[in-house]
Amino acid sequence: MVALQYLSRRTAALLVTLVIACTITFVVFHIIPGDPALLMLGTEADPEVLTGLRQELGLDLPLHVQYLNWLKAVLAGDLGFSTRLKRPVAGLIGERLPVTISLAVLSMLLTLVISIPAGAYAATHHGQPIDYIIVFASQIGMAIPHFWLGILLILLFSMYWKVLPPGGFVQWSADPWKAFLSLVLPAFALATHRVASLTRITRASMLDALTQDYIRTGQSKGLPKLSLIYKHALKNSLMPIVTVAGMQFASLLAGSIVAEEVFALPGLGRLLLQAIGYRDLPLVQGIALFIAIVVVLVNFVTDILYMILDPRVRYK
Amino acid sequence: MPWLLVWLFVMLTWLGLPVAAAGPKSGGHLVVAVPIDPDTFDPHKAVAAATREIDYNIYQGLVSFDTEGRIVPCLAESWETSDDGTVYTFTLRPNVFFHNGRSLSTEDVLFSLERVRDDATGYPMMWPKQIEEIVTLDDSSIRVQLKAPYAPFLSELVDAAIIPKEAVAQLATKPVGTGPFRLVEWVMGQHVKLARFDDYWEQGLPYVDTVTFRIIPDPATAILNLKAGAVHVIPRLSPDVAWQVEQAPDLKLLKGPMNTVQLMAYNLDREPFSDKRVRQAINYAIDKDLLIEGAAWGYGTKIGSNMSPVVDLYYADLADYYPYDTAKARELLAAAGYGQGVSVTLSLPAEYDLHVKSGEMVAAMLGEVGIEVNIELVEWGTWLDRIYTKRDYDMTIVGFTGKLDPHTALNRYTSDYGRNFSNFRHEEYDKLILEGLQATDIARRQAIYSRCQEILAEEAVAVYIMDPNDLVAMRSDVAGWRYYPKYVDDVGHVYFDK
Amino acid sequence: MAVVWKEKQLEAEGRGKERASLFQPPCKRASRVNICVGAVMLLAIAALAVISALSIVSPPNAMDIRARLVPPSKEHLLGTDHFGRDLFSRVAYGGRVALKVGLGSTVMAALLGVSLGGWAGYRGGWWDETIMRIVDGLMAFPGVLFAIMLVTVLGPGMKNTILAIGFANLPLFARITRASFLSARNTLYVEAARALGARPRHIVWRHVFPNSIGPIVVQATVTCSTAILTEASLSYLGLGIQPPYPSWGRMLKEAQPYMGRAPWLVLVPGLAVFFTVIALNLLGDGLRDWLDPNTR
Repeated sequence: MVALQYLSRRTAALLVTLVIACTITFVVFHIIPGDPALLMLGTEADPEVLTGLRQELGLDLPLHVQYLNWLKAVLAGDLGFSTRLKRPVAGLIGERLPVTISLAVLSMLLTLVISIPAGAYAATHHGQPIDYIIVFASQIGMAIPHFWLGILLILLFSMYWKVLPPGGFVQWSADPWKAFLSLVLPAFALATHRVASLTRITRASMLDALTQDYIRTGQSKGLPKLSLIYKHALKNSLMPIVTVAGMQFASLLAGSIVAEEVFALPGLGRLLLQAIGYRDLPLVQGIALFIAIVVVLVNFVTDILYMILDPRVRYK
Repeated sequence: MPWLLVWLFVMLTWLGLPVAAAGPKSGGHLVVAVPIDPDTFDPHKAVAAATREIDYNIYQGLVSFDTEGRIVPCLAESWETSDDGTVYTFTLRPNVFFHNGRSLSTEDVLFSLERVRDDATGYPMMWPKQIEEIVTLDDSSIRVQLKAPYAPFLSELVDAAIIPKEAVAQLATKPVGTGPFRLVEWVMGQHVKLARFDDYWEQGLPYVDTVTFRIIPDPATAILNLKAGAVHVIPRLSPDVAWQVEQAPDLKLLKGPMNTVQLMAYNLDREPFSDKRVRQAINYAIDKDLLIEGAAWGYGTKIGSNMSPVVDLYYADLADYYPYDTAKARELLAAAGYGQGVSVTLSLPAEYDLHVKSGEMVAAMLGEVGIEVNIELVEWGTWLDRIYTKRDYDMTIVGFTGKLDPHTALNRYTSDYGRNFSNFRHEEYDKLILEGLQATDIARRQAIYSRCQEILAEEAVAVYIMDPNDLVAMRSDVAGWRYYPKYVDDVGHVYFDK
Repeated sequence: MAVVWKEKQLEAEGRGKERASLFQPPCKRASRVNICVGAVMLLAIAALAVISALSIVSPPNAMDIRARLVPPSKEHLLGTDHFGRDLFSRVAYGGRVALKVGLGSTVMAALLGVSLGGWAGYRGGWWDETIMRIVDGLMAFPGVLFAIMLVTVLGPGMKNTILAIGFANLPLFARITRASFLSARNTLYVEAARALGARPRHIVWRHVFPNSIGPIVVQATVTCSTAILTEASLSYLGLGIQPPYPSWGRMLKEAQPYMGRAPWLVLVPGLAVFFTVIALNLLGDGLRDWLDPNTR
């Protein structure tokens, strides 16, 4: 029951966040100058045709009416129609999702696989050279701009050693191996910063956990070291790791705009950038809503994980 | 006697072989890299230039254009114009088939043209309003009556695709036309795949079996794919990366004009541009040759007025009207009262790399004569809104794409033109444009438009910089690429020359 | 709840960080080394920026088409770009831009964020809920994305870039300040002060604020380095700083087509960003250790 209460409170809070995020998007995009009709029809278009198009797009209605209409539609499950591409927004997002999701998953896996062991190792070998090396490496990793890294990777792996494709994406359905190859470099570029960050967090919270009393108790009780580390220390230090990993995954799913630019990947980030450029308001709002939902969902899952990992949370 | 025959046979085959080998070979799968998706395959609703690029190969109109921009027969075998220029009578070409198998009839032409005229369709151009009525005379002729003489009519007609009535409902994604290729597959953001239409009316064409237009927005990626052989042609290559093509032994670079006018426009209603001397001074202060070298790596043709040399029938060569002369520039500025210098803003559309680079060079050059230029990068959406529509700017650089008829290229400077964002007003110019619109005699039109271009140069209405080259990078074994004064990719004449 | 744990995580990281110095076993000395190294590196960047301002080197915008894409030589220490402009002076000038944007947006984010978060944390109740919901809403957008949206609204240029990035980073300051204020509110010394009859403003300034300042300062260095990275991303995408003013991100974008024949154009600006960001990170780490009362 307490768990249910907790969850419902969290859900309510998250929904409010969602609505606010949508409102922010809507407001921001109606302040921007730029007429979608003119953008669609170009410099030669006739004024009559432009007015007609604006009416068709519903751009001449007062702002709050437009917002409410949109909100109503969203609640009914309809994300609207892209004004430029003339297709349903939901469909467009769906098309880009495979790329963004694959990249996000690949990057996240890479991050988790490298940073958690590295951070744990550094913490357990605290004060030894390997610790300093790992910390040093993560300092470097956090400072490298990921798009610069991407460019350098392309330079190295696609231009000098022609091993990997320089960008672009082939559908998974068409050629899975090639699709995977084209995600390798971007996944690396995106993972670097995240690996550095997550390693530090893991190390820090492991160190924190390792100095706790219960570890010392366990040690004096004669528990095997490995079990101490993994069953007790790591498990108890998972909270911050889960938090940060969750945030990282959410931001990956939101589509990494710059990485997609560098590697020419047809993902969500690029779609958003183009939509902003063309003032394709329904598409922008649809994607912004999607991103907000993703972030909120990830937070939600994180909260559930907290609940599982640490029963004390429910009673707060 | 037998010897003679044998000798003749040998000679003929020996002579015949290279001839056969030199001609275009059939077959092959061509891959062309294009940066943007088409927006729709309904030819009467498409607005993106990128769409026309591809659907040129799927749809055709009554008339078409050749590489010089002259109007040539297409679905209409011939036509007659009345003396007063208001009645056009077209004779339809026989034995033309649509991609769905049906043969072309005058009914289709009537339907298509009426659809273009219909407000409900949303055809983006205004010229259909000039049509009074369309009548089918018999099985193979159709007559179009205009409200008044309209000289650019035929050149506008090239964009009115003829479609079969029954295909209208699905036209956006399942185009049916009469062109050399039919659409096989369109995966948005990925590629557009065309296949040869076997019953195409023009004998022998097309050569290749399939054409895949791959959507690759990033030029660097496109080139790497070209080098790898995954792509065969990249039209309109950015001059920044042309060096990569020139360096590669198995690639070649074609250069041709684009029929685009790149210019730096002034807002003539603002100080200091209302003073002709200032505008002329700026013209003298800009070294166009160096600019073309610096911003476009030399891949551009200098121009002097709002027309490109491509449409050679009407082009007046004014490219050296204002030779580079900083002393003269300073003189004129001083005479106009700006000897102490002046500060202006140059608004540039951020997405157009060439204009941004040109702008940077212009700023540097004008700085040398005492004009302080503040560069302002403006997003395209904002550019169209603030600068093009609201005319809230000092100077800006933009490119106007190719037109076939001089009227449509030059009428944007008339006082009552809705998009005369330069705010240019000139009585003689307005009169001339009106006359040229209705004139039917080519010689008279040539004189008119020549004078118009001269006026633009005399009054220094803008700095007409260049017609940027259309650089086409292709693999060495590809041949048959044609340059047209319009934004199209003609893959019907392309073949592999192995 | 998630908020509480996030704050705990930041705390944990902080304590763990005490051992995360580059060179020495964990102690105060180590943190000072970090601060020194970081500060020295930053000073180097600042020096470059000053040099460029004094025009000791050739102006960053002087074009020389005949000398384009020249490799590093005696005349041009780091070579020239596609317009023949000297890369060294452009990088130096770019340092000015980076520092201005970094500092400007950090100050903005800090001022706004701390005020909002402090107000929410101290007053609690309805204020707290509302402000934090809005802050959460803002945080739903990844940083670069939010900055892009704002720059599109406001238009490009240095001022607007600072505003956009500042706005995008204020939620973090709000969160941290609020957390500090919340926990301080319940400490003994505040209770004591209140019992003694001290006015709320006095309590905030004399007691709560000084104890919260540590995390805020540390966050400021983090925000500064994030801001520089975000600005680089923005100008890479073509938004943000206008030409011809050099911005490291923009220089990277402009250099990309010539990657194969002028790799120095791509290496140098990236290294500049890297160097500055590491400097800021080291400084931040050092400061965090130094200010943390738990460090020996």
